[in-house]
Amino acid sequence: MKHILTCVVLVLVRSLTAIGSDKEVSAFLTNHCAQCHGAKTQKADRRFDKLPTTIAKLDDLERYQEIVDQLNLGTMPPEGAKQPSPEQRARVITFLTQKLESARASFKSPHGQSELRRLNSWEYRQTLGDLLGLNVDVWNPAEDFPAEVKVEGFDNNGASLVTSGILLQHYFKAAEEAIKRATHFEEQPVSRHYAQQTPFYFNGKEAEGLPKLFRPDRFRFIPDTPYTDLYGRHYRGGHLGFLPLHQQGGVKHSGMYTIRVRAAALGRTHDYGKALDDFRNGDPVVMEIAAVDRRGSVESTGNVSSMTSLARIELTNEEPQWFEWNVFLDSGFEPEVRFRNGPLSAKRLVRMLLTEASDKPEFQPLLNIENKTAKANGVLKAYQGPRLRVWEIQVDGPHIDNWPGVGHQRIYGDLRPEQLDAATIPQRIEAFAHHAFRRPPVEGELEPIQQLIQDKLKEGVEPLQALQLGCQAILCSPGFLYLNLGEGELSENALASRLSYLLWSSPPDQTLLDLAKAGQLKADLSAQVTRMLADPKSDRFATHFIRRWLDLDNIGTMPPSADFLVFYRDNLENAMRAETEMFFRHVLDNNLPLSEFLGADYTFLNRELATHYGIEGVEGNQLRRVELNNGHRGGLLGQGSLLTASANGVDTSPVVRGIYVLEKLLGYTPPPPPPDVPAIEPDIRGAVTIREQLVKHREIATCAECHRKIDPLGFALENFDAIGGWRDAYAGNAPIDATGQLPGGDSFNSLSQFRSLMIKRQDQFNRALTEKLLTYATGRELGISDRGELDRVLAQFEQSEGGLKDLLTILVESSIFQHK
Amino acid sequence: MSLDQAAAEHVGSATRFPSINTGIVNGTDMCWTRAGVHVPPVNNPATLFRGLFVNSPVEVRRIQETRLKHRGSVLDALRDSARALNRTLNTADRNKLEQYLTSVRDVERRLQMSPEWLNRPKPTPEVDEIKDEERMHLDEVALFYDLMALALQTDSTRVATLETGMGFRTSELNLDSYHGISHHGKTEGRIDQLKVVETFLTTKLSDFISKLKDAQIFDNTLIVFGSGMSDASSHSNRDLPVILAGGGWITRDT
Repeated sequence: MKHILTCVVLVLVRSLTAIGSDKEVSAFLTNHCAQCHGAKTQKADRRFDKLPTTIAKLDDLERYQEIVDQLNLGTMPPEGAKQPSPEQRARVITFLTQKLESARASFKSPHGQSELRRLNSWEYRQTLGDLLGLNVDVWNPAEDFPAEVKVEGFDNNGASLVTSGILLQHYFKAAEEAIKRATHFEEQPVSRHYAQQTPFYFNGKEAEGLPKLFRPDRFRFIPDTPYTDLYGRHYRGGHLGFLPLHQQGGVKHSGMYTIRVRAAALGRTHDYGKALDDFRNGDPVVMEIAAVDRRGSVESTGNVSSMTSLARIELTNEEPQWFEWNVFLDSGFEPEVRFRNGPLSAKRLVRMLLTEASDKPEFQPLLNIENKTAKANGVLKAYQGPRLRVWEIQVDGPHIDNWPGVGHQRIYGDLRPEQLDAATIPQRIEAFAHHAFRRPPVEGELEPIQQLIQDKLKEGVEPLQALQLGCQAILCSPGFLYLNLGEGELSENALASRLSYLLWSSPPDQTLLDLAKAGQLKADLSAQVTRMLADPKSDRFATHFIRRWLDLDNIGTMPPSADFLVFYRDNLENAMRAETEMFFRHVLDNNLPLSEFLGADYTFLNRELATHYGIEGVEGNQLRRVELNNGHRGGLLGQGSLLTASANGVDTSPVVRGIYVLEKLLGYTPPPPPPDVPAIEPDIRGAVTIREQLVKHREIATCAECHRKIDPLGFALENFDAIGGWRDAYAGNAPIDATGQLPGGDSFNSLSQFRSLMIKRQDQFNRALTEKLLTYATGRELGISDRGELDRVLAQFEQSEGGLKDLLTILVESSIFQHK
Repeated sequence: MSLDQAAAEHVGSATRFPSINTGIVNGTDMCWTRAGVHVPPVNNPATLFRGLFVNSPVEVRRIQETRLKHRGSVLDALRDSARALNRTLNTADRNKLEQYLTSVRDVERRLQMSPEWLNRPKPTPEVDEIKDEERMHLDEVALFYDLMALALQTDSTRVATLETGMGFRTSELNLDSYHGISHHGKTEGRIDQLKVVETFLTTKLSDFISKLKDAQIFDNTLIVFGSGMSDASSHSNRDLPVILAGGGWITRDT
């Protein structure tokens, strides 16, 4: 009797202190987990019945961590299974959390290690640009490089980045070209004025040798008015070349130029009905300025071998107005004016007008004309629909305020070619290597290159060429190509590099290097983060991090089908990416809480994207903040970039979207499907919806386990089509059903309810984003041994009640960031 | 690593080009080297024609020769520089830098081959020059097959590939976008359209086979034709359709 009483008292004490024991955990695992993760079945390849009580291996540490995470999230044991009492759950969590903490402390290395890694294509491009003062937005030295291997979406994973002979050959070519571009021994070019008034097309002798674009044809004619009208998006009748610069083979010098166009928008509202089904009636006329390179081009494509869009502006006025931009033109490029949102092509327009609008009085006199050119010209002259009307184009430049430029100075200093010799060149090489390596060279690293130059000079190679060869060698050497961060805790110098590659994707500037040299960078990190984020170079962080985190390249590799006319005509891809970038920058610059990513009731739109979202009253091509109130949009989950990147360009799949949301926003990667299950076969004939198909799929037990976590997240977003447009029904008219139940039991009846449930998972989102940021910052996958420091970072962040900028500061001060 | 690059490692060193990789627009990401580097396809028949059959002018060849010679010296310097850096690294990082040194050796090997090929005249094909102009994708497919046949015939290479992917303009066959119809969702209209594309592609393959037979190299050539998916709509890669032709298989088996 006395014995029994003691036992009762002991149990009471245990439950009061609310701390479990190994024995209790083991019993808990047997009772609640072993059925699926035991000797008989091992769902998701997890087996807990043999987990040792003492955590001696990293694998065991990882298993225990998973158990705690699942219990914390409330996703295990699954709904329908026998559930532990809340107290029991809490006791096991508390006990295991402490156990994990002490186990982690006992492991030798406090956390993972990154590997020596080379710059990826993106960093290489920015690094070369900053080092040599080149505009690499326009000239991409890494354009032809082989694509990088991505790990969890990130392309800077040191362990996976491959260096190959093919790549090295690309490095040679890029380095040679970069040095050529940076070298300017010639006099500073003077700014010149170029102008061209209507006509922009030419006949007879004047037209000799000119590309088709400058000559009249069925869809281009020399007007008898002081202006020229553009009719369609295609180059025939939709693009205007600029003869003064074409005649000299494009601009002679890369640099900033002022471009002015005197133009107006005509006929924006029309009554041609179906004949103009590819122009949205009443829209502004969008004028685009492009830089084109006609060298080595194929004649029939309008003689353009490559092009960059420089600017777009929306015109609504019928009276002529001057529009002006300051833009960068690369040498050899010339400007072109385009009717960006015009009907598909002037050719199609003429055909459509003659078939769908032939009853219009203005076309009556033309219907019987035999000559095709006269007929097409006549139709276009008589046509009253949307046109971009251009009077004059002017170009001024180049505007150069730094000559011969940073790159030239870094390579040659103030030396003229005739001052280069066996004595002066080594000093230049020494100085250049310092910049290129982002650190002093190690012993024996630079000598072989110096020797190479001396050998070449002895062979009789011109000193200028010998120096250039040496610089080329430096730009192909591991000292330049690899981020060498040393060992263990980062040195001040290595820290400067890691920080600048995080926020600028390029080398540390003089301020960072000076601080590092004085040993003061570590103490000044918070101020440096603020300073670096204020520099425009930090846009590279916003752009590239988002691109990797949200896999935005999906949009390019699986481009939306041509059926989505608005996607191309209204330039939605650019606007979508810009929306997410501006949103991210807004949260960052204003140091807003991470809850904005899930719950913000505003976003950043221009007219075209707003129209796509069904929001009225936004005008112009510039994105600006727009308040949201219809419950469809808000936070990342309503943004076109995410919704397009999580579809395939043709249709949506709740499974694909679900996995995407899990991975990107909640930081969970579901295991791959077992090999023996039948695939889901999309059926859009209308008889079976994707939901019905997935219900069937989930009847298979092995599928159900993961799909209960995946599918609901995708179903919640089914109201968005493959390019993020809103829809209430599928193409086959079946209504969209966006209801579901999240693992853990919360159910939702609509997208906005789902959003509220996601907001409840803010902690999980914060953890996911923090992990992504650290992965991007360190160039390695985080592992179980990083968990302790990661938890500490998250706790510190939560305590600070801070925003995204605070999180970044805490991250760069963390031990994970400051260790190799 | 892809099959063509594996084959090129065995038989590629004897010819001017270890392999020839062609494709429509960006192809299908089909070809990968041993190191895991993507080999993008040549997508302009005129470029391929020039590479195979047009000799560069002497002055261009002289410039290239000088460049090759300098590059050889630069590679030597790079190797020594990398070794100096290597001494400061731990084991894991040394393994990483070893990849760089392997790349240097790889480029050196190619360089040794280059001067020889640079001055050896290219073969003269019995066809008209293929000019640089805009073409229908339909014509490009045919031209690439022709050029592959010529390349094999003139022993310019022994490994050749052609990729036709989502960038293939099916509008030239009066069809909807290739990607769009590939997600057919079991609708008859789209499946019928896919049949038109596939008939076109297999007809071109058949023409290619005839060409190789005419040139009497069919029995010495192994052709693999297929797709990375059996059904693009369900994204299934089970029961892949594969045609294996040539190589004198039948006689060898019996």
